[in-house]
Amino acid sequence: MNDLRREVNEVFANQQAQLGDVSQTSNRMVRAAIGGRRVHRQLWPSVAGVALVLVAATAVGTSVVIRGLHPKAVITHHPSPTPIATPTASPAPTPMSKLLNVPASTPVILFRDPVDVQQIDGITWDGSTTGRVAANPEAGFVQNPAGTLYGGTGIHDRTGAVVASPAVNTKGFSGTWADDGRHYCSMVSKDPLGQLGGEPTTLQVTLVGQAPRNVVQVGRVYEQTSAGVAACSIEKDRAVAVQSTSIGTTVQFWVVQLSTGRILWTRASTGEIRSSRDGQYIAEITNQAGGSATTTIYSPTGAVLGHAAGRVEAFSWDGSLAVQMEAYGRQVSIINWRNGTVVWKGPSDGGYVDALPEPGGQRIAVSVLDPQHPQTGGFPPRNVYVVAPDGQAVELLTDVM
Amino acid sequence: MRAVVGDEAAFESLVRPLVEPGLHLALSMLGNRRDAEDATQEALTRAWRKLHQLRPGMPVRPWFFAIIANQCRNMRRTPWFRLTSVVDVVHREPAPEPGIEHLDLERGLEQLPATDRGALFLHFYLDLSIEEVAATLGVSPAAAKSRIYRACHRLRPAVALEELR
Repeated sequence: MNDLRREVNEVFANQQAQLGDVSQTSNRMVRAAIGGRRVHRQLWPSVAGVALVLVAATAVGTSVVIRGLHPKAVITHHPSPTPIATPTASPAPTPMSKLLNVPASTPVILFRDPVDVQQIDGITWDGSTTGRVAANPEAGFVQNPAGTLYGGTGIHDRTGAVVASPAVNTKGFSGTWADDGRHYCSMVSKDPLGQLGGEPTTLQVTLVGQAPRNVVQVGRVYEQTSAGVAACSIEKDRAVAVQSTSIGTTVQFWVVQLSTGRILWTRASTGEIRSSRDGQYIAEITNQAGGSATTTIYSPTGAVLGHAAGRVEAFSWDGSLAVQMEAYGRQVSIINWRNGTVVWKGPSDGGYVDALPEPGGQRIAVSVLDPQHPQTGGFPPRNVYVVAPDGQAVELLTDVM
Repeated sequence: MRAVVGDEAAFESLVRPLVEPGLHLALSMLGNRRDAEDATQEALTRAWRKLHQLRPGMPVRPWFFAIIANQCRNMRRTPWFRLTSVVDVVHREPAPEPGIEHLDLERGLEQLPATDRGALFLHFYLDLSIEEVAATLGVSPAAAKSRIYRACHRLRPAVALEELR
């Protein structure tokens, strides 16, 4: 480690040489910062006034733009450059107090309340109903496809009640929800931290509230490595198990029949693996020099279906659409990966966070960072767009966590 | 505390030693001197404005570096940065030639995710503790440690592989 540290520092030092002597620059900067505050103090009232006028003008302008664009957005099949905002879905300035009141089977998107990150709220896919789900003092949670259950340190229903207590790791629920919303798959080993020489890992499938069932033993977990599940499908009777290195790149992945444990196909890989929810389509992201990437998409039998530029991070429920970007931090697009058609382009300055396919539907909810509101707490503020296959998009949530 | 209540000399003595490493951090994240200076200047202005957020006993170094790192991330996200960065790549003055033995390592570092490279830079080059790296990046100490390990593990095989060829 010391040798590596020394060598890395030599490279850093070489790169930093372009700064030269910065003592004068440093002094000037500090003085300028302090001087800047004086100016800001004097200008603040007028700046605030101008800002208020601009906000008011923007609000008027936005409403005009929305009215102007909406009919066009309904009929267009072209990528929408600017998603349409829905005022009804904006977060409230205080934590959501009204309980989420929707039928038990209605799919919702769960999110951390922007005012109180320890509260989970939910919103329907059309944005018509939103409300508080439960207090959640846990660090993270993973919802099932319809948001009827979510995993933290336990598995909770939409009222926050614990309905099952699966084995969890230090980060909480580590399972991958199945597409029926009632099962989940996970990779387990005797020693989850791995050990020198490796520890065999077993793919398990669990019906919530029942004991796990071993499916097949695939892969090994070593120190600083991990094994996970990219897809778990009861509907298609298959799962995608992935063995990864400590940095998230893949060593090998297996497509497995859940009912029999039979390995349908497998492949060694050095990329990153994403899968459609049913394991039918698998995207293998290969990183290139300079931060760019290409993605290979495999068929249900392991044949190469095609290649896409950039990173394919997620699929729609039916697998026809993909969430794609040139590289992390770059503009997110929704594409029809079979013909390369760009269905929708996200905001140019919002980096990708995650995506959720609409269960049984064709829409995709895409979360992107809000560059206007950089992260200051434990979670980055993000905006959530729901994108339809015709490219029509709605900004469903703004600055949620 | 005098700085917090607006004492300019106190503020200057507090942050002055951090400006140079701050510039280095910004350069490591943005890749050119002009952007690094812009980011550091903006971070200094913000630090002066946000001094009231500095609570008694709170370490100044990670607090200030976190402001710089945030500013760099914001700049990287703007289309303007991407546009000007391309121009910079085309017209950039040649960097000092790295030693031949470091070419692969340099390439490996370039290919690291920016967050991992940043963690490595903070820990190795600026000699921040794991806790300070965590506070700067806004992550837990375990996550900071994991990023550094991750970066090291990614670099080592790359170097070893090249040596074999």
